[in-house]
Amino acid sequence: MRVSLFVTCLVDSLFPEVGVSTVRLLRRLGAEVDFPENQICCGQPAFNAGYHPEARAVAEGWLDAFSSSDHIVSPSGSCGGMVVHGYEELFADDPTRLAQAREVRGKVYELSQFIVEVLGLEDVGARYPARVTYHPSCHATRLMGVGDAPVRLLRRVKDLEFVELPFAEECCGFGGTFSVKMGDVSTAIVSDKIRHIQETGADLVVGTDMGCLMNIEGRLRRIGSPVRVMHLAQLLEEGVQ
Amino acid sequence: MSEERSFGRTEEELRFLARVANALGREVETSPPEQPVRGVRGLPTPEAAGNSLEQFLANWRAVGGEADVVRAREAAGRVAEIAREWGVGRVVRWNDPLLDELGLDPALQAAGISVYVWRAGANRDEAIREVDRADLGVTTVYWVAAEPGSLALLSGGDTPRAVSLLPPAHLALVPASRVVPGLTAIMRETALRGLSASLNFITGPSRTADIEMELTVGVHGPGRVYALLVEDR
Amino acid sequence: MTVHPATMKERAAEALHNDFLREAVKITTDKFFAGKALAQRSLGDWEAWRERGRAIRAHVLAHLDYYLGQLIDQVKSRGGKVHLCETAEDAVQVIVDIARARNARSVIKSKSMVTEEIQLNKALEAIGVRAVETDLGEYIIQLAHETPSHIIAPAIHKTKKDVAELFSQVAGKPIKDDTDTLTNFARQKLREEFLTGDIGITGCNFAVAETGSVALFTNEGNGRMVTTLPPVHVVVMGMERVVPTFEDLEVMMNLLPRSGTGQKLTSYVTVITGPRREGEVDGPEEFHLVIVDNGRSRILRDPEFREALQCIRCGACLNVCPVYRQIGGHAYGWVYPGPIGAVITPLLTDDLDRWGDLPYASSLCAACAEACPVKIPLHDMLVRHRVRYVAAGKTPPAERMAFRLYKRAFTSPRRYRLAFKTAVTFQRPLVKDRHLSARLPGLAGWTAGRDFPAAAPKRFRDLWPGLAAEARQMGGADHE
Repeated sequence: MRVSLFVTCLVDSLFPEVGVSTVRLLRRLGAEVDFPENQICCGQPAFNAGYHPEARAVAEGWLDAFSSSDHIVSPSGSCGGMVVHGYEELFADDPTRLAQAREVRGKVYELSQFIVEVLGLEDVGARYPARVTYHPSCHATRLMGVGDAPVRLLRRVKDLEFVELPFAEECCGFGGTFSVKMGDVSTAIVSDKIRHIQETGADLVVGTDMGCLMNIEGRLRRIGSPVRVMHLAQLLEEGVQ
Repeated sequence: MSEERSFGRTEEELRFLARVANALGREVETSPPEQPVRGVRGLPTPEAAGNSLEQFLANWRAVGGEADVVRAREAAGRVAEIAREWGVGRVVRWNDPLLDELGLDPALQAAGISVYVWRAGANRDEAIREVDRADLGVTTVYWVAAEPGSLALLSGGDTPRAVSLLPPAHLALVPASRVVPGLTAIMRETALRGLSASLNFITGPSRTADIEMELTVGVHGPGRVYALLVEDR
Repeated sequence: MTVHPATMKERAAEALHNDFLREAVKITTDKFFAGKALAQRSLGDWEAWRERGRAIRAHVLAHLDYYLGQLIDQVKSRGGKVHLCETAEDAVQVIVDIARARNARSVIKSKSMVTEEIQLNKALEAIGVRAVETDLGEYIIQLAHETPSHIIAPAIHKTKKDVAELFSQVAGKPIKDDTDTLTNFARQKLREEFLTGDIGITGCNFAVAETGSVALFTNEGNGRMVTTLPPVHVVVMGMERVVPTFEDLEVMMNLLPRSGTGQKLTSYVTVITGPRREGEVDGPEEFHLVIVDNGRSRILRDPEFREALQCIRCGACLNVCPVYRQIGGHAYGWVYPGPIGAVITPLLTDDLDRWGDLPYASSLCAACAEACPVKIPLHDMLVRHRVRYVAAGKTPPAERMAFRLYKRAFTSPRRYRLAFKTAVTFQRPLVKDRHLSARLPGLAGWTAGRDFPAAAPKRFRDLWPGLAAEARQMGGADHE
């Protein structure tokens, strides 16, 4: 199966190792991965901040980059959610682009969603000895309907002890520009998230979105916590080695 | 309800409605719009699946109500018992013939409890004074809904609102035949037969959690509520 | 009256320093949320119910002129009086006139957000009429000269001790700070008010157009007192709060309490249809319905925000909002808090300068939209507000500059590469262990409490050629 990687600007420039793991994992599961090199960003930062002309310019580049893809897989439900949900609003007044956006919408998957729903796999053959909890990202859950795909994948990893995260469905407080504009509220929210993570006694918190994870990790580091943060793609890919 | 307009529109009304219509980008609508969906039609309503009476008892108790089922001839005696247990000295009641048939007053009086019957056209000050100092209000019901476990009371001259509200305790005598599975029947019936000035659904005692989220009953209305179901024979 | 700072950010900062408030808000919202999940389940197919609720409310809004006309006719035909008010001032004047005509000394009120919105109490006090809030939570905050912090539970920010102090002042003697004693004291005090009040004022959860009825959902019984004892009952309603039929009210009876407090039904649902009838001794002899526009037709006119009028004021969006849960209701500054407040406050007030920053008090997590029993797309609306704020030129110049640069850099692979290289160069002296922790201009809100990841030495796309080669080495034969 042919898969186009939608790496996202955040992973591209700050967390390239997550992109690498995503590619290797998908290949190991039998997919053929390409990387449309004209992709840069989906436009979400500007979209959410209310700068829609700027967001449109960037989003048009995204639509062009992925115009010939069959399956588009992203290690971020938030960026995927932008395409699936936000483009409808962003291109409401542009019939051509709107048609393009609707066309591409059904092809976009968040990584774990793609593995479980399209490849039909839950056991990727990984082994990872650790006590792990999972933070579901809001946009993956609420905009992309990812559901429990990541948990299913984690539960099938050998030697991995999975612990439910209390108040898992509550936002980590990232929210893009919100995390800077209302930094103290954002920090208060992520502090609660970290308290819940600590309650699980996990060594490792796994997520499917680097926006949330860099927020959680940023706070964990600041308070000197030994809890590690990992993208699901990294854990699964390291686990199958 | 009647669709026709028996009232001419005032200037004020015309202006106000025109503004609303204008916001919707059109002239004022004068014929009833077709409703694409109506009420709970076509929805799976949470009505009692099995025995409505059992379901009512369970739901009513779950929200803190008390309940029992008695035969008609035992009803008055049971009310007197409950009243004694609750330390009731004064009762105010609706003027419902059912309560006379059940022989409520003699039973209460025999237990040393005074009874004030609030009738249509009573002296307002007197009636309010009586109900304010009563320890227990006794009413019947219009209907009872098994789901969600609610008494429905209609106001009228002989069925005043205050009796189920001002005393610290309320007891309703419920003919078992008036228990229906859910709200739907009550809503349709009520709309069809025209409304009293007040229709009250009562689901448990008066409650509040306004102080530090601690549940407290009996804040303004009755803190104790009893549904005594009376089997018809 | 407590005076709060002028901006959302400052009010939020103030709230963040109030530990009791934050704890109380969390306990309350958790409790409501847990209850909601349970009560929802008892309905079976919750999504079908939400869709029904949405459809009914959307239908009413699309035909609001018709249904308001029907409502007006029905109320009049049952001997009630209807007052149509375009502005808050009109509504206040109507009620002041009613109070004067009755020579009223005191008005007893059951919780109503719209009377907060039109600032009714102040106007009544100004003509020498005492306005007494009778919902326990509202009574407490009225004594404290404060405003509600939650739609459903207005006094969650007060401790038992706070309440005991307030009540002790009223009593002129010490009142013990246990909940039963406090509740009992309020019961006795307010009973006197109920018995002597000249006018009862309530809000309106729903008005039924086909019958001219007004439905009130309450738990304490004060709403019933207010509509039973005084000789006059005045209902103040926002003009959008209509359902077509009695049958439709049943849908709302199933949605509202479940979504708000997690109850299957509130202790009381009181459906009032006109003044008392022939032979009735209690209940009001005069019934007034005050229908208030006050900015609502502006929202109705606006296709991007019309759905906000579907709101049934259940508070579900507050209970799940991560921002509300940290800062509570006062930080939103006006009458309506939480996500719905952030959406409707700028619209109702039509004042971007004062309230345009509310829509930024959100991480756009969409929990609000998911919780809404009538499916208002609240998080989309928060973004729409931001778009207007930007278009009106209200955002800071530095932010505007940043997004101009973003557009330039993120629309051309070449410029993107250049921007990345520049970032890597500039961050170099600040990076420690692949993170930045110093306060950076523009990032201070983040770095005050968190480390920020440094840009990677090489981007993913710079690693891609190697990855592509890896696939070729793997033979690729199995997969091609």
